[in-house]
Amino acid sequence: MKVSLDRRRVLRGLVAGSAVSVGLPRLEVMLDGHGLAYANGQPLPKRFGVWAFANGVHSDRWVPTRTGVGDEWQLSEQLRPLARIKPYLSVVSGTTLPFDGRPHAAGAGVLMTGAPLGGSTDNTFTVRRASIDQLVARQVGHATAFRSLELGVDASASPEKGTAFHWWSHNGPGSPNPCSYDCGQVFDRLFGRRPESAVQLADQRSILDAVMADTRDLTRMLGARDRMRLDQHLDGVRALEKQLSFRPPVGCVPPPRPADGLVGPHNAVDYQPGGTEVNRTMAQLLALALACDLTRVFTFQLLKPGSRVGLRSLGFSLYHDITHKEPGDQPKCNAAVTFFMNELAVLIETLRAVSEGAGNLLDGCAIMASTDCTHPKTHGRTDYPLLVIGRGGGTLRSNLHYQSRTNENSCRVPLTLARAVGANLSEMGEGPGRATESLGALLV
Amino acid sequence: MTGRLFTSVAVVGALSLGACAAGARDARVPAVGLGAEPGSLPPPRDGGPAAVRRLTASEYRNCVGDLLGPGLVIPALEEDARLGGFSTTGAALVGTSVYAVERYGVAAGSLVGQVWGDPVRRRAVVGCEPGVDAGCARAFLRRFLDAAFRRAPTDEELGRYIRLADGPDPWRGLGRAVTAVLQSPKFLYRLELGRADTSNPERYAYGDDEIAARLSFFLWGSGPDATLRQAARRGELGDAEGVRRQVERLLASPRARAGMRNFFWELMRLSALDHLARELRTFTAMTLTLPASMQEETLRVLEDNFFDSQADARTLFTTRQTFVNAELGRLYGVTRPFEGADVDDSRFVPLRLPENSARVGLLGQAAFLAANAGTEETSPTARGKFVREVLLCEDVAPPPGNVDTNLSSGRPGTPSTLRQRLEEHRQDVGCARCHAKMDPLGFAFERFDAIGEYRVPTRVNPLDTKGALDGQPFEDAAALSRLLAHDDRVPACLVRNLYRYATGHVETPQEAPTLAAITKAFAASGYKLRDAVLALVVSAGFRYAMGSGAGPQ
Repeated sequence: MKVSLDRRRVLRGLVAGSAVSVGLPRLEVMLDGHGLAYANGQPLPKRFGVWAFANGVHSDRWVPTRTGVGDEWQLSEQLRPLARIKPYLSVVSGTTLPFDGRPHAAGAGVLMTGAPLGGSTDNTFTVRRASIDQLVARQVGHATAFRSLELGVDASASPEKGTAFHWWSHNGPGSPNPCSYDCGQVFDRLFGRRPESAVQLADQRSILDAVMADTRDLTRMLGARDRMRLDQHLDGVRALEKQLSFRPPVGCVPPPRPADGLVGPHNAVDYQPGGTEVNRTMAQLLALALACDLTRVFTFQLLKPGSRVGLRSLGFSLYHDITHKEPGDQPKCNAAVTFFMNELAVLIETLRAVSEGAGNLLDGCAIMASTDCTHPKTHGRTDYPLLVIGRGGGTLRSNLHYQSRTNENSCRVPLTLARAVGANLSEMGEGPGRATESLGALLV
Repeated sequence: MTGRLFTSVAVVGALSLGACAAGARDARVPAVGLGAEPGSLPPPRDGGPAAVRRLTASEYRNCVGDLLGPGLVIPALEEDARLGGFSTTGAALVGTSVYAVERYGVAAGSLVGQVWGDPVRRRAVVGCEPGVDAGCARAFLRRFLDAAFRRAPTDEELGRYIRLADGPDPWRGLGRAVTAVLQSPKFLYRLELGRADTSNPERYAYGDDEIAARLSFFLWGSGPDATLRQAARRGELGDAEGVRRQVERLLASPRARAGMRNFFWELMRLSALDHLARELRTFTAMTLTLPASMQEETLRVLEDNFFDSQADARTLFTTRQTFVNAELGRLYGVTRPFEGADVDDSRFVPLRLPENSARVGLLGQAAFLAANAGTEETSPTARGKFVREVLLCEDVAPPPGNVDTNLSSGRPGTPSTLRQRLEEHRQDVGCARCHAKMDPLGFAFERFDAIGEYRVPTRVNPLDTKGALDGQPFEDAAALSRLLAHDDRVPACLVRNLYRYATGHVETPQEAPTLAAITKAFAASGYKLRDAVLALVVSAGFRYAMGSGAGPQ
């Protein structure tokens, strides 16, 4: 089934509300008769994503009451905003994320690496290993202009803390992949700043050649640890060089640039209205980046661990604090979880709106959505909140509620999704979070 | 060359061993064990491991200002990672993401665009007319690379950049070369690897250029200027006298004030005030600009102590002398200096608080009181944690997982003051151990609300400020501050923080003799901060690395 005619319509007005027509690379002529692969037999790309929010959930209002597939289970109160994408959604409940203290930083860091955090004090917390998105990116990222993309909406956090308190994605200890918060800047990364003429291209190539020669001089001089750091820098320079010569596929026409100053809220700044607009625009930019095959791996941090954003329309000015302080059933916090699930729905529905082959972008995606603890009052780790979105290019079942009866390790979920998009990983992590087995229930 | 000239410090270090051993028997002093039980610990070490440090965001900005002139718009870089407590300690550990490399590229392009787009500016940076003046490009590049790389370029490097600049349009060519230099790792990272010391196979002495860079980044937060680089190449940084001469020169510059402000900013964790959330209905004195005024007060007081009054640093805790602008004055209940129509509200003026004021010293300043508080309530835990971590250099473990960190909310039948609720919290053995260290110190400041405004106790909420610092009782904040001013741990901790910031690493236990020697010099000077700096820059820890950062050749 060819649906290319729809695509132009769907992408009209995608970015910053302007009416624009955006062509897409995978025109029908490029696909096989069924729309499931390219005409030359190459499969459509699979994408791995992580979506994060903060400060936990309330299990009694998060976990669906019944398990099963399709109509056998219904969305819980907090998950109701995801009703329209339920066919692409699975809920995993009953697993445990084995972390020891270090609130918020550990939830994010251990889930992403399967390993305990390193560092002994607040300001030294960092991960011990590369996070799962980077393990995937190392295997699939070479095909695209950006090995991975890290986007964020809420920039609020305690400034003095270690890297695991700020970022979900890491190349290794002390080496985070920070998010971009500025929509215009993300646009420039994806679609702008390309050399306009052959002379400019030659200039930039020769500049990067000199930079690379300098970098190699250094790596030759250094001991193992610092050499690794400089090798990583060299990696970055190579990525720049690749981006120079990269041309978006035919038909992938960039939309107009978002306005300057469209940046996520910082501490104590209200999430609304700016955050909602940044979330919508980032979702559209991500959809384009995936559709144009600029990247196949992304991390989308709606909120930083322990987010201190405000939502005065729901009656609080500092999210982290209210999740600890609100007494009783925490109606404000409950409303906040629902609010942020609505923001997730905006992203997922934006991806679904982009047709690709016989279906839409979600068919090729494997996205893990989670947070930095279970119940915020206790920084809980049992019954860890985990959502799986997308069909992983036909590898993942969907519309499923799987409840673990044996406190399985939560880290099996990210490992399962990484393998679902084709990453060849025998295991992930070390210590109690180490995962070796996929979670079979999620797989077709 | 450098080894023999610093024996005086080594002697001080050796002399202090006895003091350390005595201190080790005192439970309040962290046991270093040196000298007490010979052979029980590895021998003392001079300095930390050699490392490659990425310029911090502020160092990058300062270096760019030095290389290309002031007033440029510098695009945002990847944030610093404060691993180890300071941007400088993080700089030796942090890895550089692809995004960060992209940002360096964007910044280099933008900066060169700004300078090269302005013929006057461009000419000022290059100093000659390439393509017209013979040898202009080569002379400029030699000078520019020297400043950017903080050492003389090799012939190979100079050749590389001259080739890059070569082309039909000489200005455009130089623009290419400068764009590349600004994103070269040789500019973006400080390479301080040292050379093997013949007297000690484990020890590596930093070279002259490396010492110059270490001095300049420590004191100015930027690369060494031409004078310092020339002094280094004349070998003048090889002895304590030469170092002292240059350090005196650096400290006399206003740039040292900016440099030390950066240390004070990070030490006092002032960025916590950047986005202070307070309900305006509750805190009527709160304004949009008040947090920045709080930061400025603390910086001014510390800067004044270091550069102007040069008073005993311990008096920072007990002095009633401070600097305020109109809104801080109002917060402190003082209006006098700001009366009259022609007074600029934002201007800071010296202020002496009344002798009977409850507000005393650094810990009476709004910056400390507000940054370590909740949005509505004070937080004795956070204030106590600051005293433990920042002033006494003790690590406080974070709360464990699966524990309710929430206080009871004062329903009928349950305790109602914050003190009672926190005390109830401490009934839990899991929480007690750490909270018992923090909360009793924090209660001292209960007379100051969450933005640091004085509040009057009531019958319902008596705001009890009594407590004890490791067995020494105090009545209130002023008394706790007096105890801290006379506590030997405080100057030792300040030296430790200064050392971490200056050397860019968290000290190993074996560096205790070096730290003890600096602390001793600090004490001998009457606790002048400036003298702590002077002792630090000639100490073994500043001049040597243990273990080379270089790879097998």
